[in-house]
Amino acid sequence: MSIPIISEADRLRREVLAYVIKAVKAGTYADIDRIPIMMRPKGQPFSRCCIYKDRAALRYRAMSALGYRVEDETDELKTLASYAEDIATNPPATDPFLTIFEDACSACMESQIMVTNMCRGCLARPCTNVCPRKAIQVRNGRARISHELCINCGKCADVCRYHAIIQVPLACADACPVGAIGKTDDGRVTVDHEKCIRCGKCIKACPFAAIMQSNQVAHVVRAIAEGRKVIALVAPAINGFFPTEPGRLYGALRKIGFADVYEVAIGGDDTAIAEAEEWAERKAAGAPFMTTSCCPAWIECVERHIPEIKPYVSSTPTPMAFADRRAKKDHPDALTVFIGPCMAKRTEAHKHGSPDYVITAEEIGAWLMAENIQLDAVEPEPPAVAGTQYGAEFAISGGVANAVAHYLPEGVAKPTVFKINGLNKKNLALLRVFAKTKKAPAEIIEVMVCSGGCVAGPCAISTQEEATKTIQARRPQDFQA
Amino acid sequence: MADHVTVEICMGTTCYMMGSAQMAGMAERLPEEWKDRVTITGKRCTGACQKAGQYGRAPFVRVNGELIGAADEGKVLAAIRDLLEA
Ligand code: FES
Repeated sequence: MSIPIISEADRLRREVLAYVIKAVKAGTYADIDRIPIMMRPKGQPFSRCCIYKDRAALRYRAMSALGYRVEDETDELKTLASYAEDIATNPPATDPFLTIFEDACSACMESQIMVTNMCRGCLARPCTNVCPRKAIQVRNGRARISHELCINCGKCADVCRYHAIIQVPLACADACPVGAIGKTDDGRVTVDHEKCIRCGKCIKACPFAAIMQSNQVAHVVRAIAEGRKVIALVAPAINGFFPTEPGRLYGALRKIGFADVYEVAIGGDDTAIAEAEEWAERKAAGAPFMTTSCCPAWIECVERHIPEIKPYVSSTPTPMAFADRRAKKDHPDALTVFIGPCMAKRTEAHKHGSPDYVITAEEIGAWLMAENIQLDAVEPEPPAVAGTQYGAEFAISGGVANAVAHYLPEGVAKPTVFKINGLNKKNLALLRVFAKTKKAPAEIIEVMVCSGGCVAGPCAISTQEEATKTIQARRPQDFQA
Repeated sequence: MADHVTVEICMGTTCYMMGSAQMAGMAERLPEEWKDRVTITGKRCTGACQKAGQYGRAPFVRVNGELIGAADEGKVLAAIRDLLEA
């Protein structure tokens, strides 16, 4: 069993978020300027080439925590404190939320298969035999790969008995399911925002933490500090991340100033009910299949890469949209804030103009750190509106299709289900084929861009396995999976 | 050499966010031969994380009383090994 780890990049990001939140809440903006020095004091160990680069990276991390994109910087001497002051008048950066600190990018080499000097130029030469493109030849006692011919399949690496052939990854580009990542002339990362589906996989993948996202939590903290009425829309995945009953988290949210809590699981129920009806209608009209619509990165993928599949994509609003509608209806004067594990939800909210803000599990966790709230010491409180377990399991791969099946109108046969559990280059091609041939292996195609579902989102806190277990442990007796 | 090792993982908010969430289920991942010689428990926040500038030192784990800062499963396993197999 592999050991789950948290990366140093995740730790730094959360630490910066917590310090920023603390300062914004207290209005002590000058403290934010101290963050880089506090976290990398003179004479202490550093992680990049020198302490100064570490501090520069922390400055940009703080900027993104305050809701800015690194690219927004026009004056390098502008202090973090004045960025924090500007929150009062400036809304947070908008889509694309991805932001790159170019100087942190290590300009890694292109993803490729490489022969190392462990190669002994052996007699057996299985690498030359296994290569489907005849891209390997042995010259001067060593295997050589022609990179014009090589298709990076890695078969040679698998058969070499000396482990002399390695696959050199380009972490960000390999993680990107849609080929949105390119390189500048000097080898640094660039993101083509026209192609990018906002999934956030590259943020997790980059070992140098050069890719970041602009946050919105500082604006929410500020709104609450100013006395605005703010409603939390809590995504079901969130209730898998904290080792406590949901009520304690809701109590904690009230404690830090949210006026009330709506479970997005209720929106999940709304979505499943509407989607079940939609499927019944579509099926009656002869539709061969329908894909789910709740994953916002999938919707971006449809629009940017597979427009031909659009007629087969459910047009039912997402759980976030339904939950937001409920909250806005009950509290027209309130700001609504979605709290989830997802980056693409920010883009969804931006496109629809609501909810007002989207913050991540990391941002809310850092907020609890900043306020030193211990969940086990908080009295559990019920949410204003709760969802069912079916709605809650939207966060887990398979859960959406299961909920749709549960809410089918009477007399409609249970649809067959095919799951895209984690979008990658391969199954993206498959989805294209479904659209082209108007044929799919099942009636409902559940698409989740993150492998495992939202519980494995790019801004998750605990491991996907733990979060899944935690959510499923709440299944009532009569739950049908 | 110790007969038995007690591991206390801080499950307070800061420690949880800074890495103890990833240590959940660690008891099951222990090597078979250690399983009945190691006890793993969760602890509440001691306040250590709240001293100025200390978030980065979380998560805190104690292995037979010895404090490990910025702990992760690898560091904890190494500390257990030192005690059980020294
Ligand atoms: S949360 Fe572990 S010491 Fe505070």
